Amino acid sequence: MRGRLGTSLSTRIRYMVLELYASAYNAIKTYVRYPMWIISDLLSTPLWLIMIMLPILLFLPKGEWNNPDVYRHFYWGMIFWQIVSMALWSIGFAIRREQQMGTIEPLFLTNANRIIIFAGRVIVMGIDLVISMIYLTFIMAAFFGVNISIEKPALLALGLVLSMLMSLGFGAIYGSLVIKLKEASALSNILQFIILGLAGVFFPVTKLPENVRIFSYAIPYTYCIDIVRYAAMGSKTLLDPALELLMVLVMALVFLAVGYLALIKVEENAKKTGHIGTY
Amino acid sequence: MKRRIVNFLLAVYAVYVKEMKLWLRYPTWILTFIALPYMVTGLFSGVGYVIGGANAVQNFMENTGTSNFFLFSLVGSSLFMISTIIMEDVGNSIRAEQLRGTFELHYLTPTSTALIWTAHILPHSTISLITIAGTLIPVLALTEGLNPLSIAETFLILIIALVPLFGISLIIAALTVRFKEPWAVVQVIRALVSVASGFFYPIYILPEWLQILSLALPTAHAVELIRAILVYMREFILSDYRFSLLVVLSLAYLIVGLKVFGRWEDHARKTGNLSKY
Repeated sequence: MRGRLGTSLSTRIRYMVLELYASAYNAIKTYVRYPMWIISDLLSTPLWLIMIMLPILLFLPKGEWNNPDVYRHFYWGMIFWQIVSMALWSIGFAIRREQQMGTIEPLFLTNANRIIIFAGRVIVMGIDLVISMIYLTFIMAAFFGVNISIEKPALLALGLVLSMLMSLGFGAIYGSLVIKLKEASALSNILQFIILGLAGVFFPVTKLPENVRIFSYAIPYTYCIDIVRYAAMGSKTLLDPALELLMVLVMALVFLAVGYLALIKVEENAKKTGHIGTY
Repeated sequence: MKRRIVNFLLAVYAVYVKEMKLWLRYPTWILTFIALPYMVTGLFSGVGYVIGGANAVQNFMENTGTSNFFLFSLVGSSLFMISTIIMEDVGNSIRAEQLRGTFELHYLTPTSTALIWTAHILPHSTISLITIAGTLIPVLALTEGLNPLSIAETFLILIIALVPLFGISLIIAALTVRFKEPWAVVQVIRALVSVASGFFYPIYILPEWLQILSLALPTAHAVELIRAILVYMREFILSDYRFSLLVVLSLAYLIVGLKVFGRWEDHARKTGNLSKY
């Protein structure tokens, strides 16, 4: 077994890349094993889009149901919803799956980086995100006659990558809870709706009542979607765009670090109490 | 005869206890099902308010005929929730037996497997009814103008609406055990049924092809009937064509579900696929 101490930085980076490759290989192989999933996603996405958009359109006069701006907000909301789901369903779900398959113990016997072990699923979700962006762009044009354009493509890519990294860190913190809670799907469902509503995933938080906005400002995703919307649609940001981007970067790093430490801590505890493989 | 009835009831009881034990092992799920309709309603109305501005409620009223968007959406989302529970979980229970390696063992017992799989609707219906009661009772208690008869009528429609959902779940079970991967198939069927049933909006705003599809969905008629009673406070009449359609479609879906599952079962027995997944 290779050691961590005494190895050079380049070797450690090489090991991390190898671990990431193995994790991604495993996740992608599992994903493409069931092609029905991909077909199912393609068929059901426009249907879910209709189901989410119609009840909200009821609050607008019929004449405004064709307003392209409303559809663009929905589009970026749907894309960002996937990033939020990534945090709640990626690492937590991956840990649960390994527990159910009985492979969590062998994984924790390796000295691989704990976040990277489960990061493969995030890579699959990243691929899914790109496919969704292309597919939803097509759906928006074909079904609603709305063209999706991007104002600042480089900034958008950066914003999305940083948001995904933050989701990875958040997912690691949340995943460490899963080891303790065993069944976290219920909690994930509730958290998902709270984040979607309060972080302004479908609309700018400035439109929320002032007393609710305090909670929105405390959710890191508020700033991520804000910068993504700014890059995509040129909408007004909460803070200066450069400052907001820096804030998102710092938050992503902090979440990754805290997530890593949380996973290590909970793993140590689970090893001591013998609860690592029980679910 | 008496012995046969006792055996029948014992089999139903065994399935009920087994499934309820599995449900109660993770009680947070039940709480989530009760809370989710509120979350969905909150999200839709929150976003709706934001984009609709000061005229949001007025617009809602013009588009739906009621200004009570909270009850309108809550009724729809709780029905959406129970349709999801029945459609996913009955099929999933059957699939879970395969994954656990206990599926074939049912075929070694003297009890009819048709009875065993049909009995699965009872525990899942119990959870569904607990869910809808937990979600709607607090709101209905505060709604003026509702009488106990309306609640009883709603309950009757709900019970009838559970029957076709069971039929759909049997088709889902047959498809998933045939094609091995359950959630992909379930997702498409669930999305189609959910969109065309109009859980969150009136059917008339759907594209025409989805409106035609909704005519064939018993859930769409159940939603309209229940909404008419609870939201629009209309009197329920048994001769309502939507009620007749609901009853006919419920029976049709159940028969088709049992037939499709039976066909798969026969095929699986002949080809030795019963335990393969």
